[in-house]
Amino acid sequence: MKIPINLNINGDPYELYVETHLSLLDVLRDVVGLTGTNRGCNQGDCGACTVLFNGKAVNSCLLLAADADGGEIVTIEGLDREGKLNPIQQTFIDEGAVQCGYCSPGMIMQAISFLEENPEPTEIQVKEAIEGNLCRCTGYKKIVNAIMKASEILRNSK
Amino acid sequence: MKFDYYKASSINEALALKRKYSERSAFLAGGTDLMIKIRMKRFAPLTLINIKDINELQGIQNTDEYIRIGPLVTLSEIAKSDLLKNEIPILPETALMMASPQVRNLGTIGGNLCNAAPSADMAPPLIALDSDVILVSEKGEEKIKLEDFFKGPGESVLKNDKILKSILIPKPADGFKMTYRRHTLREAMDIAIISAAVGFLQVDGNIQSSRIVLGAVAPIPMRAKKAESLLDKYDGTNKIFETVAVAAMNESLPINDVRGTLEYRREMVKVLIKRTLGELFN
Repeated sequence: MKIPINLNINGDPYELYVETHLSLLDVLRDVVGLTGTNRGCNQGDCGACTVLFNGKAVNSCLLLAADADGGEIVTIEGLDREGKLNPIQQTFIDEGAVQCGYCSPGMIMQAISFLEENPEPTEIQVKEAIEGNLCRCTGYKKIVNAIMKASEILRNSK
Repeated sequence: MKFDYYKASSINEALALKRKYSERSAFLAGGTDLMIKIRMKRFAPLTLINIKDINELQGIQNTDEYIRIGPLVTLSEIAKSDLLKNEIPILPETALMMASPQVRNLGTIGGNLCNAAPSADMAPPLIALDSDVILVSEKGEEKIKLEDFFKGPGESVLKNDKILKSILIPKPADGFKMTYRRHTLREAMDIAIISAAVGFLQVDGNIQSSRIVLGAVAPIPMRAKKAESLLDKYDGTNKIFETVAVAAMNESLPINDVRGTLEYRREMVKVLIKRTLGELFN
């Protein structure tokens, strides 16, 4: 069964005609061609596929594309502004928080959603915020540092 | 794994669709359990019926006697609800123990109950709070105790023709104390090896209406009624904790599985109940 859906992805409208069993992740990667969102476990455990759906961080592997109809989606490709990286992307680079890079898009999307609600986090809160994002390089320390530093930059820019 | 997909915008429409597509169909809410079941090939649906847009199944409402939670309320919404934080803080605390932020943004309280896992984290606290649930079919509504809702692993009283409409939680009386603890290898994402909600009413040093509800140690979330009646006889000393904990252990009916052996689970029921009572009486 195929149905028509409308998605706003990174500010651009998409009219798609998709199989109802496809996840939002399947559609982002294989239909729209935005491969920055990664497929890790495909069962909601690893967080590599995290995107913002109507402003909230979700595992795009657990959401049917059909369910996302009418929704606004932001992926890692939609973060830069006028060629400038989002502060969280920049601190991930500056702090060396990217090793193999596979978890980075999901980590960054989760961090964005978290910092929006918690602009002045403690380190413990940051660790709890990324409890659903696995880094198999186990480079958590630098990821936490990057998110802490980004929170500072975001606070100072307001 | 292909399936058909329909969206219902009212309870009546959802029930009519379920009757029409009764074979291998399911209601879809948060999807955080259902999508995994489908992908792991434990369930091969012909039809999914999305119920996320049904207004009657949304929202948290406050009345004098109870709080009503709509089954579509997400675990994140429960964790953040100021009303619940003030009136029944054990529910936001429990929601925060579950899964991850991303899963909590999708997963619903109704889905946690209807999925009917013996380890469903929302069940022990809600049962210990004496919650009721309202079920609706094309014939009408009925109200039952949440305690009587579960029938076995993955099975509830909901058959093809019913939908969970409301969770009603009586407001705890003054002097009501409660906690929910889970034993897991990892705090995030993990499913409980065992869990326990312990609650009671403390009036002038006496204990009344004890509730000890165990998760992941029986085919359904279960009340340890013998242990409860022993706790009601609390004599002001901590000696009774061991007796209560052993009674709960003996009432539990765990199995061996990937998360723990039968013997380990029994032993941990005793440990967790003792620990929990120690905390509550401290």
